[in-house]
Amino acid sequence: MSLRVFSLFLPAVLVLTIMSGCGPKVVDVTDPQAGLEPTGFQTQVHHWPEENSNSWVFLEVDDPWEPMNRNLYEINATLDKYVMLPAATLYKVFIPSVVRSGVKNFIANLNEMPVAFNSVLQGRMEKAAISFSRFLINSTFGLLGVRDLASRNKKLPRQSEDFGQTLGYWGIGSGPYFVMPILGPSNVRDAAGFGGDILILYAEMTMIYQATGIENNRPLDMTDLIIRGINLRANTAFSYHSTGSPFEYEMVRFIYTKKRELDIQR
Amino acid sequence: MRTLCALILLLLLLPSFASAEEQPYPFDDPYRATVLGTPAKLRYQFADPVLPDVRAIRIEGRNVPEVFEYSRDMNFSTALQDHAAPLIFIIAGTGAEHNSGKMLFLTEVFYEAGYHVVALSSPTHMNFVVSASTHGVAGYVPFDVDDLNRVMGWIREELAKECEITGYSLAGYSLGALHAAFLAKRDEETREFGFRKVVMINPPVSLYRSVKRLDSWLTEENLGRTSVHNEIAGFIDRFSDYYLHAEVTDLDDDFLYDMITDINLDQRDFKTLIGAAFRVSSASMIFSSDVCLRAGYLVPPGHYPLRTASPLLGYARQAFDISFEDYLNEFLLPYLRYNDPTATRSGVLERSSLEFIRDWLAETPKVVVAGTRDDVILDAADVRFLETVFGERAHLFEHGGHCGNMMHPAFVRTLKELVQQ
Repeated sequence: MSLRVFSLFLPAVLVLTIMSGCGPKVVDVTDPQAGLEPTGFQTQVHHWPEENSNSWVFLEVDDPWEPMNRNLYEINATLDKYVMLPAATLYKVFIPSVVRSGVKNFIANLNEMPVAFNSVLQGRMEKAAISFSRFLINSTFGLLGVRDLASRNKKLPRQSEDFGQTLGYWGIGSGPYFVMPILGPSNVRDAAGFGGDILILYAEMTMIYQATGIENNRPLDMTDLIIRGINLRANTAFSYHSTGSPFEYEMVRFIYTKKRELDIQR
Repeated sequence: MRTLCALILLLLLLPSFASAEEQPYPFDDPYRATVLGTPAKLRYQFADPVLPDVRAIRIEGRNVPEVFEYSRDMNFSTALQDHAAPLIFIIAGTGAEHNSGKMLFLTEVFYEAGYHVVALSSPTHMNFVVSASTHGVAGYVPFDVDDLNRVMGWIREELAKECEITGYSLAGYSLGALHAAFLAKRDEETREFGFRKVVMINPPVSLYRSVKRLDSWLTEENLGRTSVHNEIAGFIDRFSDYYLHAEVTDLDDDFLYDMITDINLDQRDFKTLIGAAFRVSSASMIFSSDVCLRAGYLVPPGHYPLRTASPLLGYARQAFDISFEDYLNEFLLPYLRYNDPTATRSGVLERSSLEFIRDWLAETPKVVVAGTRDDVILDAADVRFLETVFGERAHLFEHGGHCGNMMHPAFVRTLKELVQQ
């Protein structure tokens, strides 16, 4: 399929998704007994929160904007339920898995450059060399990155470095926890880092466009963004409110923060 | 000559038979089995995997607190055949959702066995408490069963418009198995569904006894002098350390499996993990009930109304430390007495145990059990109960812990045989 067909096709899928009003099919029922009306029942024993409790201190994360973050988390969950998740599901249902893994590999291959660049910025030359070799191998023998041949070599596992980690590596603290619109859990440093990675990617794409002689790259950029979005969602196992816990926000906040802390040390 | 050819052919085929031979379930330690389940490589493979649909039911005008707005609809999943078929309802275990790993797997099993499948969350799952429970209180089996029955009625009505249903069956695992038994008993009187087969997978005999066992693993009896908080902080350090030195890029199930196998957890650790996982579910359930009822148990009256923006960590801390015994004495029993002053502790516990319907279970051929003899939620007397009451209808495997061997081919074959027409 040519890129032009792709660029026409994918926005169409997205529009269809939104218009079909996706999300689960809901059936309305009535039950006067189940209105959850106040009962007046009160327990005699309480387990109310304690000020300055020192249990579970490790769960605490610097989150001064918590009320705003929690609202953003809910907005993201709703968007995900009605737009991103249905789009990803349609993508999985209608696009054969060979094509999907091709798309996934192609995008992952483009992402090798920011990883290599960030590895250099951290002075981790071995990591940089691995990412760069992967890019070279997959871009050539892997048919422009559609096939991930490099991963067959045990010495060339995919690396994961981003600008947030680079900033962390140079001692910049995480700053307050921050739920990014659409993208979800982050913190001030990593959100800034995300901007940095976008710039690196933008530079990379511009070079690719120049090298291939493409003049009007705006439709391609849009397509690139949409495909990246759908690909990312289709390959992310997490779904909102699937923990079955009212404390999901707290769990996600803790796990994200802990994982980033470890990723920077790795 | 023909015989010779056949013999040679057989010999040639033998090695491939031998390599395709099924490996037995690998874990003898029931606690390890409960945590690790069936390794991916040894799991039953479905010939034609199905992707279930997620659907929802909304009770109009229900007063759902704002903080739980996202849980207003009761979610469930369906996998429907494209031809006339019997329908099976499956009920999840404590705190589990309709599309959790185990539930998705069971959905596939019964779909492959030729059923329309409807998978329901446990009435102890937060979504069920918030969106469907009549009382907003979970853990009292008679209430839970009434709620399930009502929800199943709505679903049946809806699905009957879409597909031809030739009869009804029922299955459940863990607490869901206990619910299934009571639903079937209830149905015997009301004749609403006329269930043909009722499969109980790893049921507790007495909800109370089983939960007490799980709770005991977070007390001194198992942990000695250290507290559960320190233990969990310790686990997080060990997991972190493993992650720091592991060559991984994806945090998927394989990684978790490798990690738990590699860091050499002992039986005491496994018990702690099982107990802690149970606590996380029960904390969710208790907090959800408290907020739905505004009972003042975890949330002081002055903190209401809780909004989407309200921080909840303080309540989470408190909720995790509440044992089932405490919940029973401080919340559930008082609530039941508030509703019906004649309710007694022994009466309440009795009604949440299979012993209560023992005679009926003993003489009802359609109710069958698939489980394990080393199930960690059962004691020796419970296993004897299952063997005596169900006799030939109890299919108990030697090893597998609590639902650990559920995805093993031998177990799946048993399940399919039990529901074949």
